[in-house]
Amino acid sequence: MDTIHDLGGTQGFGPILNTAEDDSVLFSEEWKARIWAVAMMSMAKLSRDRTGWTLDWYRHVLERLPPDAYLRLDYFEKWILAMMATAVDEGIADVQELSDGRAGGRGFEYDAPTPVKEVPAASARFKPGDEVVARRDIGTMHTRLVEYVRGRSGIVDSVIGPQPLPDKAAVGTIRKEQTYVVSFRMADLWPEASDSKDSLLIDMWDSYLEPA
Amino acid sequence: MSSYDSDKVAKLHRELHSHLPPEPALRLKALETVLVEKGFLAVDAVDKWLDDYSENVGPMNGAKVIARAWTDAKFAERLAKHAAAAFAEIIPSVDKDYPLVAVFNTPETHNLVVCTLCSCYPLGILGMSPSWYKSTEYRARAVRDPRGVLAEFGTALPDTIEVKVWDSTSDRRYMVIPERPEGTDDWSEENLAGLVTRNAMIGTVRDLSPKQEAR
Repeated sequence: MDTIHDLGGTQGFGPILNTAEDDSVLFSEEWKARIWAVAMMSMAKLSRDRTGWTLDWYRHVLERLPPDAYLRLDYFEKWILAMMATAVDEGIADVQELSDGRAGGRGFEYDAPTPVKEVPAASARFKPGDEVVARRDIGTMHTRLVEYVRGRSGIVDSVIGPQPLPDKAAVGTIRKEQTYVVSFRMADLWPEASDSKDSLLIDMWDSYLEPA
Repeated sequence: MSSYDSDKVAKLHRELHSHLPPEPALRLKALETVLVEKGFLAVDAVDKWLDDYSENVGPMNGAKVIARAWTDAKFAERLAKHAAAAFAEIIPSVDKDYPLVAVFNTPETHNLVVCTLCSCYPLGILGMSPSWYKSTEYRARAVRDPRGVLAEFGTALPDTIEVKVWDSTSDRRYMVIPERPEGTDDWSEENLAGLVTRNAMIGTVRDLSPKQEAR
């Protein structure tokens, strides 16, 4: 799905604020530190308990925030909503309990855990130096094929190694694919960059690419 | 279980967002309380986790590694080949298999890291990213107008230096190794580490030259 999160190259945004933050302060407020810890521990537990939870599914949960909320809310506020939605989705709590701020009863039971399935890895099609084109369309629920490179030509810069395809991991299937760093000329991406010598490098899965 | 039901979670977001108090601190309290009362998270687990995190991760890890790379060419080579293993030589708590890549600035190139799709960052080594890194402005603009973005950080680059923007979208994480500033030949590793900033490790700052009073 092409949702609001795919921000790369979207125009109309203003200046970047707070460019000189204090490096020693990792969290500006207590609640931000705490949601971070709650999220990290919850993710580790869901993985251990083999509920079928994957980081790509979680990313998709974040991506389904209402578009206006996605743009307006603080990063960590989005994580609170996404972790709450996750708790309900996994069968740990319900909306009423989260609204009340207290559990209706002790304990919980996951709703029929279904661990992720592993399927054989796909074979690698490209090598460094190959000219490739990013796919123009993708119909999966969640993808890391950003809109701004679709249909554009680039060069395989280097091979990263096999990684699970996010589009499948987001629905509970682990299929590893070769991943590459693909280099695009800025001049090939943006109309106003025709004179630019700068480049954009991005991690791409094998099935996001076609031979040029 | 995970439902993988996109519309279900979109509906949950709308319900939760309209039912909950608007203050994020209250929302967090509600979530943490319910998860602990349900027995999903242990009592005091959050405090313990945060203590460990603040002790073991943070920008100082990157600063120490960069200072070593500036003073030891062999180490810099190892850092370029297998970044996490090089980190683990200096910071034993770092996982050697952490999928980290170090990209080196040179006189001809400047590296800038962004994650346009979320906010991927080497959190397990360098700690939480700065808030500007997670902002919609940075995510939208860094891949399209990198020089304009750099200028807002006070970094003006001549056209002779190529900008390489890394959009970090896979499990791999990137960090920038800045160049050692001139006039630091007789500096100790510890003092050199003190020059390295979090922004420089993302690439929004290029010049780490010491201020006069720092000598």
